[in-house]
Amino acid sequence: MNKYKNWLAEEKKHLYSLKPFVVLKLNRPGENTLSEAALTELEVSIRKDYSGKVGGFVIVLENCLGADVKEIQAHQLAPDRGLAKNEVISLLERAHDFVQYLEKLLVPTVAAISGHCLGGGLELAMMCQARVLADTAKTRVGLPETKLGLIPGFGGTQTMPRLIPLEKALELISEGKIIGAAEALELGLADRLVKPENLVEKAVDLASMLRTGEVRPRAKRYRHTSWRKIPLVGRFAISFFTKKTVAANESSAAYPAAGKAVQAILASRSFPYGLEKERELFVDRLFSEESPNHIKVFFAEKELKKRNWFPEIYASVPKTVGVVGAGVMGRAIAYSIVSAGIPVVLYDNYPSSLHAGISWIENMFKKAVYKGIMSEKDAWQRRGLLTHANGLQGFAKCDFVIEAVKENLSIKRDLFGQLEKVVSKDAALMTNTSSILPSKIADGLSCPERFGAMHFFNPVEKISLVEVAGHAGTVNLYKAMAVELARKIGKVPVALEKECPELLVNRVLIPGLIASFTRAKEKGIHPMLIDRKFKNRGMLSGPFETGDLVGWDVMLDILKEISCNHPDYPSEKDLAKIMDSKRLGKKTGVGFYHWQGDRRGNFNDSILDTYHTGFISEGGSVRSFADVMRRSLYKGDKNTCGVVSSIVDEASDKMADEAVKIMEEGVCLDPKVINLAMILGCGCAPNRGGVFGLSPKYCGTSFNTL
Amino acid sequence: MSKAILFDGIRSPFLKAGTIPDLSAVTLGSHVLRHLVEKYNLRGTSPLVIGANIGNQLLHPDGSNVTRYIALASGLSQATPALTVNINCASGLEAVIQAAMRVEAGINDVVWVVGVEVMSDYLAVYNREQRGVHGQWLAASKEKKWWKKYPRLLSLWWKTKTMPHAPIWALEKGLTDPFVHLKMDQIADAIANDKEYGSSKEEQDLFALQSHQRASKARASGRLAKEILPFGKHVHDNGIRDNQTLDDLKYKTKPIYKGGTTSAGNSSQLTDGAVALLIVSEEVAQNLLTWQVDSEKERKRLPMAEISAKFSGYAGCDPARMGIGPVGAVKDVLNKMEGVSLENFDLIETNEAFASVVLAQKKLLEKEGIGYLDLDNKVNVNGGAIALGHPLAASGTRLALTCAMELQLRNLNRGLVTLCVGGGQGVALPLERRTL
Repeated sequence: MNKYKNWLAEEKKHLYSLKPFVVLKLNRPGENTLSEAALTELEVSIRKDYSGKVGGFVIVLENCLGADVKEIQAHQLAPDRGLAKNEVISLLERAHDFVQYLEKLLVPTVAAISGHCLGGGLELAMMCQARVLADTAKTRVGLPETKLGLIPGFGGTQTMPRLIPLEKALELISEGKIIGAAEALELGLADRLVKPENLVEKAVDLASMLRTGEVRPRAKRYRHTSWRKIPLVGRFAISFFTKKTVAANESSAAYPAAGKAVQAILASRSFPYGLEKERELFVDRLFSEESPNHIKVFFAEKELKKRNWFPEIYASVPKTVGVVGAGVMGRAIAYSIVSAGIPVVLYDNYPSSLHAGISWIENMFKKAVYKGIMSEKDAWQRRGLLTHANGLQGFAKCDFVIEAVKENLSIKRDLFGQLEKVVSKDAALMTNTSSILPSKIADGLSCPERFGAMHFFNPVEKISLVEVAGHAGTVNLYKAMAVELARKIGKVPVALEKECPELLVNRVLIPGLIASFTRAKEKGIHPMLIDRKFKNRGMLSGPFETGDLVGWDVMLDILKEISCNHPDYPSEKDLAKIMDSKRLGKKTGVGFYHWQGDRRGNFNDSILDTYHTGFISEGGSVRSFADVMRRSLYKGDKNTCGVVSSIVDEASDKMADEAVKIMEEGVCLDPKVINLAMILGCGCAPNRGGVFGLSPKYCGTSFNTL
Repeated sequence: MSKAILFDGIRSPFLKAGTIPDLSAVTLGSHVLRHLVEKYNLRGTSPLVIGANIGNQLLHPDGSNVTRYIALASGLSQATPALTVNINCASGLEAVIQAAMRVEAGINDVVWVVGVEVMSDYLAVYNREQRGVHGQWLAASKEKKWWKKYPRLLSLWWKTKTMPHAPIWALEKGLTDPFVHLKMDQIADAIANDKEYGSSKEEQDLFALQSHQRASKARASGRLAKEILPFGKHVHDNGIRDNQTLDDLKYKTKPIYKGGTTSAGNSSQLTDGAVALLIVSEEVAQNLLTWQVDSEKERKRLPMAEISAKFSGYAGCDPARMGIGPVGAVKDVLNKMEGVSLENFDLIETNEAFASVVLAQKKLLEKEGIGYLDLDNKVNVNGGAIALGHPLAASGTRLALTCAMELQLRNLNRGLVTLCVGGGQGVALPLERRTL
């Protein structure tokens, strides 16, 4: 029955057509990816086996994750580059030939999509004359190739702007955004939304309607922005949109493929010309420096997610989780746990914070339903799992408690002392803090073996890393419980062998931050230059921006804790002089930068005057250092650039040195894990392979692995 | 049991109706009672007032002594006596306490208690002006001299047509304290704004959310269905909001008074409800259990609880702060029961007249050193009046029922039922689980 290894072929008869319709369902054991073999079989079936004998084709893609990334990686890592290039070019030519064949095919082709349909799968669907999507929250479509450092190579950059408006296509492809069924229908990507049970049936109905001419396929024409219709000026509208889209994607240095994808989309002379451009740019990106690293990160993250950190222990996911503290971290942690279907009890000392936290969580549920990530029924059910407590007595039935209150040792000690009396003996108690050592808090407890640290990062929804650590007396069972919980809520857990101040990511990040802080001050370099340079190298946000994001009051607390180990760090008085209570960064709306909600605004010029209050005399006139810094921003000469580069190199080296110290101390023994943790936790140069790849001192050593 | 003695008495002149035009029952009754109160110094005794009045309390539309009619309509024989008690909101609990008293005193060995309130059937009555005008019709029509009769009738007709038609709504009147002239929700606002035991709108909204969440869970798990007898096509309580969000409480239900915190979302609802209980002596209970209860499940569930009227607690407080009465009532109960503290009670059912009231009770109980009101594990575990509703007289009986049933289901020992009373009182009654 099954002629093909990768496809299930079935002939369906329909009332209004003499010839049957062929339903081809992608069916690979394991992952549903479009490997070369699968595409070849598809080509053979459509071009040879069924040509002329059928009334139309229905291609069913269920959870199709696009092209096989392993095969792409194999081409990338092939020793003979020239040969690999030629191979890839010929493969792409074949694929694009098939794309054009489908465009010209006389019989209708309909794609039926349910579940994920990303990358190559969506491109295959866009080649067809019509697309039918299953109307559930699980249906997600998108072209996330830019996240792997590539561009859509199966015709996506040409077919997508011909189906949906140009600015939307630019946005979706350059950001690698994934959308749900409702939005796809709105844009024009989906022609019909149907119930999942009737998917194939409705697709065949649609194919027959296309065949009889009752329904015309969506016209594949370039949907220009409305601005382009303005004569003369219209041409410049596209370049305006391009700049806006690519600039909005802030990490454009780490993901340069976004710019190339935009180039491919805008090559609008004709369809074959566009495909040729796409081929060129695809090969260019495939053999660039960033793409192999991105793909390695992709596989390494998958592996790390599945890694069993405590093989000898069987720990189950906790049944009820308690969260103490409904501040920015507490409420985000509670939301991520409750949206995975685990009941959560939330408590905060201040009823207004508790109220605000619960309102925020309800708002997040609303947003999730609006975006199509969750169905409304699911959202209400999971919202019902969140209850609040009126006092610590409310945690009596929890078997896992996470604390996210103010960073103050005595407050935390008191809290855990009281919590201990309420929860059962087997309940795990975890703290979210990284700046206070777990052993210091565990000092006063009567059962310290169930106490550990489970550190989430801000913002919890976007950063999927969770660090789990324990003090010397922590029993592995509780760490394993934390790891299982993190996995269940979709995060990537990293269990550290020992505790250390600041745990992993912050500990590596802070020396770099301090180094750039002090050196910029010394050498009179504008902080924005340093931030820009870091971003060019691939960091998601530069040191001053990161400080603003975290909050300079938190940085002050952190400095207080670690300055005893590092006498050469600036004292907290220096920092406190610069950051008064109104300029704490994102939380107060102004710090080194202005902040409006989540968006970063312009640099806050007035802070330079408090940053460096010194004066320098040059050539007879006395200038303030702040003015020197301002001047350096506009100078742009080789000297300044060299100084900036040296500062950034030094900061990166310090970060890598700290990472080596972490390995030496035995906190985390695997450089792969450290690199990946830095990439996931703070976006540290995924295009260079992590913190070791970023620093010039270590990028050639064996530590630079993924 | 000690004997009761009638010591002294006094009465007012009995005047024909209409002799004094604006006479109020309160004026007349307090006139005589004040004489006795000022005459004797009764320091060191624990007094109680039992009043008797029929028509001056906004007569029930179904007649005076609605219990008698309910009893007859339920099929009880004509020989069964029936009486109605009234202590405002805690009438239901008061009925239970009095039933327990009669059983303990040996007067009756079976007492049926029924608490019922149909708040949608409250009367609207003519105000005094209207009553005055309408009352003169009969006299005018009896006038013999035609030149006096018809002008009088004409002027009365004109007055009827032009006087403002503003009836007194019994619902509004009943929910206003006549001594301090404040509505119940104004009192709740005052309690919320109090410095000692006040609470913010956020706390009240959180409490209301909790009530709805718990009631919703209880309904979904079938716990509430165990107490409910379906009435026609109505099977569930329809005041419970399953998907209640804090934003809805914040934006859809605005505070009733400007600058206040009490809103429709965090107050109890106006509801129609009825609860019936059977209170019997031990002998009768044993009898029933042995001969009349068949299924094993019922046998495990019954009897529900033991009530001791002598441990019931009463307290009074400022009518302008009605709502903190239960604090004194709980103190009274704990004083009467030796060796028992608030922590010994496994379940507490309190009437959530307003969220601010319960939060105030919690703060005051802690402040006065009586104990910690565990809102998480002990209080109103299946939701309360904010979600289910507060049919005034039926609430007390419902709290007793739900507390006793929950004690049975969870295998716990002691329960406490308490209500705040409009007018500034509090009533509390402890329950203990019994197995026979």
